[in-house]
Amino acid sequence: MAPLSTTPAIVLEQVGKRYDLFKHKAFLMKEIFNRLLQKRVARELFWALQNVSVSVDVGESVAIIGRNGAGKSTLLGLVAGTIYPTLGSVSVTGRVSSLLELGAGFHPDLTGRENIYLNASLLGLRKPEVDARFEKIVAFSDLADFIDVPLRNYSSGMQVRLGFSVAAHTNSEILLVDEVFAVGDRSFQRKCLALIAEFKAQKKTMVFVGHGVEGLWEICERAIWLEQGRVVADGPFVDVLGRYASDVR
Amino acid sequence: MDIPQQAPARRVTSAERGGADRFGAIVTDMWAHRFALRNLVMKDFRIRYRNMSLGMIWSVLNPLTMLGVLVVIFTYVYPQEGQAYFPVSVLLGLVSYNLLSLCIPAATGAVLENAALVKKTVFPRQLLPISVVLSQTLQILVQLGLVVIFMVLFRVPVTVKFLLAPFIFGVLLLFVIGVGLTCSALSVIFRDVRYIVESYLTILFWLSPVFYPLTIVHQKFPKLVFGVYVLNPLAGCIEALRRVLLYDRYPDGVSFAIAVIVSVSTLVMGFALFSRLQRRFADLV
Repeated sequence: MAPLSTTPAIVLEQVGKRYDLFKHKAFLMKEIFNRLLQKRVARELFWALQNVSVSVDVGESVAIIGRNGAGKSTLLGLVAGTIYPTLGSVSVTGRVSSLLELGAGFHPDLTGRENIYLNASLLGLRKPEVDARFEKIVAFSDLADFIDVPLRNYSSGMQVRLGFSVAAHTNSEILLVDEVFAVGDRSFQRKCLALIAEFKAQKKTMVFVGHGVEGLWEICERAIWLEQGRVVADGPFVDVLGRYASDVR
Repeated sequence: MDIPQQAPARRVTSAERGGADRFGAIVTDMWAHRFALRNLVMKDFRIRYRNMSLGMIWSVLNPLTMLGVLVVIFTYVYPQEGQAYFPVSVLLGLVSYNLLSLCIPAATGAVLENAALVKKTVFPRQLLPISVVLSQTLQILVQLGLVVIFMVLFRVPVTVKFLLAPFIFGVLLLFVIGVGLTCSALSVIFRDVRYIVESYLTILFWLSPVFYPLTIVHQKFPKLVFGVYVLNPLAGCIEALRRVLLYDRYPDGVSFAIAVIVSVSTLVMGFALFSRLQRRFADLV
């Protein structure tokens, strides 16, 4: 085993993320014409995150809470590396596996098996690595009977199960979990929680977002409360959740 | 039991926004994702053919029909003089043109059509247009089989120079990947690119020596016009393929050299542009 490094797994320094909400669909063509004509373009600037500084240590589990549109998913996207900050810097040490909207990369015309290989390889795994994990992934998802059926014939619950199963078996040091507990039946949710507890024991860094994070008091020692793109509170899980709950009420 | 993995450190600052990652880093990352590239190629290939009853036959039927029309017109309506192996020559031009006309529009939509992947997963986005080009190239390989059959039927003598043909196709492929990278990145920002590409490809059919030899352009037009004409790498490559495969000659120095230079620089510029724009993809798709 590699020694645990002392550098934090995730460091966000004064991060800001701005979106340009253009009023027209064909925005940029128009923007270029207008720029050529030295005209101002009607556009709205929207800061999804502002001045966010967060550091997450290796092995820490953090829940991010906040209302819809508070910037939780933007934060996760920045850590995952799909989106880039407008201001500040994001540093991530270790392989990230994002369980963001599970199975987003699945294609309905491909079978479960083909989707496992495609998704796992996009997450950075090589052929021998996927081969070695394939049985485990299928067994965890409980979809052995449907593995050679095109995904269009899967229920949404089955797709989520497959997506979680692939993402959970990539052996990443950092796991980002978004809205996982909104779908799937009870027994599968129990299975996920057991696996997450196992990851916790393995000192993996985990960040949770979405519905159901209130139930993660056994896993998360820390919570971050976002409000309109800013950090309102960052501290022990129970404290922050208590403050958030009384505020929402 | 688990294969050990290195823990890569990633740091992104806003100062680099709009800038590109280091070239070496992208290439290393792409190499690490080579299994993903293979899966993306297979995905594209599968979804294209799984729901078609005739499947691969279409990729042969289309050039055959076009060839039939062109051969009838240029044998009976406007007879051509002194062109040996005329149908094979036209077919070779058609298949080369098809490499562009199949790959470029498909690659142009590659990023937009995989919006879910771009928004949710992290992998070198360059793989998207490249994988689409490669999967369409598989279709071109089938059409090349047709070229081989025609060459046998017309008793074209086999020569050592045949060995140059894969290299010439390789040059064309570099050009297609370069254009594919450029157009797929631009189409995320300007959705109109798709339509520009389509109309440009129609014009290119007539501006490439598909059903006439390159020498005609050389003879009938001033040097300047010829110079502009061969900036299209398809022109130099088709001519080179004909010489190598049909006439036992080496590629024309000038037109092929220009094709190589244009193709390589298109690839380099396309790669640079794509890498520069890809940071905004997840915000825009």
